[in-house]
Amino acid sequence: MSEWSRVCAVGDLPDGEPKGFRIGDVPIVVTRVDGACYAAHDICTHAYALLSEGFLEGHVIECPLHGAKYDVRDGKCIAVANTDVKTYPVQVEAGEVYVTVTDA
Amino acid sequence: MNAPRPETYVIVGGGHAGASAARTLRAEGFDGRVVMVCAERHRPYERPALSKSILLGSKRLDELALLPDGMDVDFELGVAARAINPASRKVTLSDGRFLEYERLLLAPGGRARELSVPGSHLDGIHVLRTADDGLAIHAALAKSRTVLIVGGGWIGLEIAAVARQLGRNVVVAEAGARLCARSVPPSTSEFLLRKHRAEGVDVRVDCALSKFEGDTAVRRAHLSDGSVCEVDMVVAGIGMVPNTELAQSAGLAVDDGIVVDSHCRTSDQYIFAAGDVTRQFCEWHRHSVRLESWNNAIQQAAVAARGMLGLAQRRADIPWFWSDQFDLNLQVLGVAPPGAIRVSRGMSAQAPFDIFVVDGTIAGAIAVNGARELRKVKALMAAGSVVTERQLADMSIDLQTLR
Repeated sequence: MSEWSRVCAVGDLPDGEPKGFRIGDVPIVVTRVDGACYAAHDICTHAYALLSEGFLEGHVIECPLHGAKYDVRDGKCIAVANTDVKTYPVQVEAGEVYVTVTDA
Repeated sequence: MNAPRPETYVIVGGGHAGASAARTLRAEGFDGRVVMVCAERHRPYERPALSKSILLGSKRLDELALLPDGMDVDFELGVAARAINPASRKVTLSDGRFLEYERLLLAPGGRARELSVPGSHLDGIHVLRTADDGLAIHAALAKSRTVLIVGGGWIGLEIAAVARQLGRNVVVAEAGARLCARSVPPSTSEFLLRKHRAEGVDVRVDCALSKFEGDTAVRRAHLSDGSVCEVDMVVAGIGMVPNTELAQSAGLAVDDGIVVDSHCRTSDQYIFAAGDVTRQFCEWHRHSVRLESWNNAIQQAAVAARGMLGLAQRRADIPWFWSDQFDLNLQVLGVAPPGAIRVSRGMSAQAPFDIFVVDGTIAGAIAVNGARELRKVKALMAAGSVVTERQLADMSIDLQTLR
């Protein structure tokens, strides 16, 4: 069973700016691109840095430290790092963003 | 009848440039054979970690692979390229075999410059360039109380930071007047000096090395300030020497680096070069430069790979490098030429953010823990935006609005 946690309102996510949250012990970065919301693990797989402090261009999130890039839709690494970043299911209901990190 | 040999592109060098070229060739759809000749016995790995997480022991080498396992590349590991015959398009390898190529990329990088003072042959004196060097320093740090770092450049300071984090006594001896003098202006050198001293590193500038003493292992270092340091180990971070010999003996144009055009083509039409070994014109420096950085190796090799495939392109990225020391992430973007006006944005002593302005446009910037803001400066630089010093210094102005 997945356990959904509310992280923020859709309106808290300006287009083009990643935001960091925590669900239990799991740091996540939430993004909104063209009206759709995405969630991923917040720690860059390349070296210790928070993706939520990075940059978002289209569907690509870029780590602020060394420029590793990931597609926010599937976590696929596009540049620098070799390991994809884990993504999490997102649901939007009544303008609220819910994420589950418990789903296997 | 023999089947026709597939088109073969040979890459000499298994560093960031070689890996980036292989990746780019495949991403651009090259379906011939890619052979990578790596002098080290490791497949390409992430090198910045050598002066940080490898020394700390927080990452293993196998976690740092640069190319995914399934990548269609033939690796020749632990084999060096010994000679190139441009006329017959053959590379001779150190084990006597040779490889024929349609295109050749030279990305052999460089080697650490070695110390030459008396006693430099003693055990316990290290350099850092390869994974094996990093692992050796990691092991030596575990057994040492006092570490002498010779050279106050990026490698030296990053190792000093790690050694302090591990609780070692650290002395840094820099022969010049200031730290990292070749790549940053005096204000940043002073910042780094303050930071390292505050963290307990014994940094000495204008301090050259006279000689080492010890039986088999180094025990004492005599410095030009008259002092004698009791040491358990030494790391020399005094720069690198580009591996240009192969190119030189093949008759390619070499001038402290293999000279290439904007497509990374050498003076031979079938041979390209990229990475630390390469000298190329840079729009930001406004002259030809040999850049020793991770980002340059990756970007330049991508250009080279497309050049090998005959694809038209123009390199437009801005020179950029970073250094991680203690809790600092320092990033240097573009250039800070002498005569540039330095604008300090934010005036923070802990996290300075300097922007360098020449003739009303931004030539470069240096940020400490300021990656997000630096990104905005990068956009202004790429757009060639005309700015004033007052605007850049005014924290109430969002830099994005100056484009």
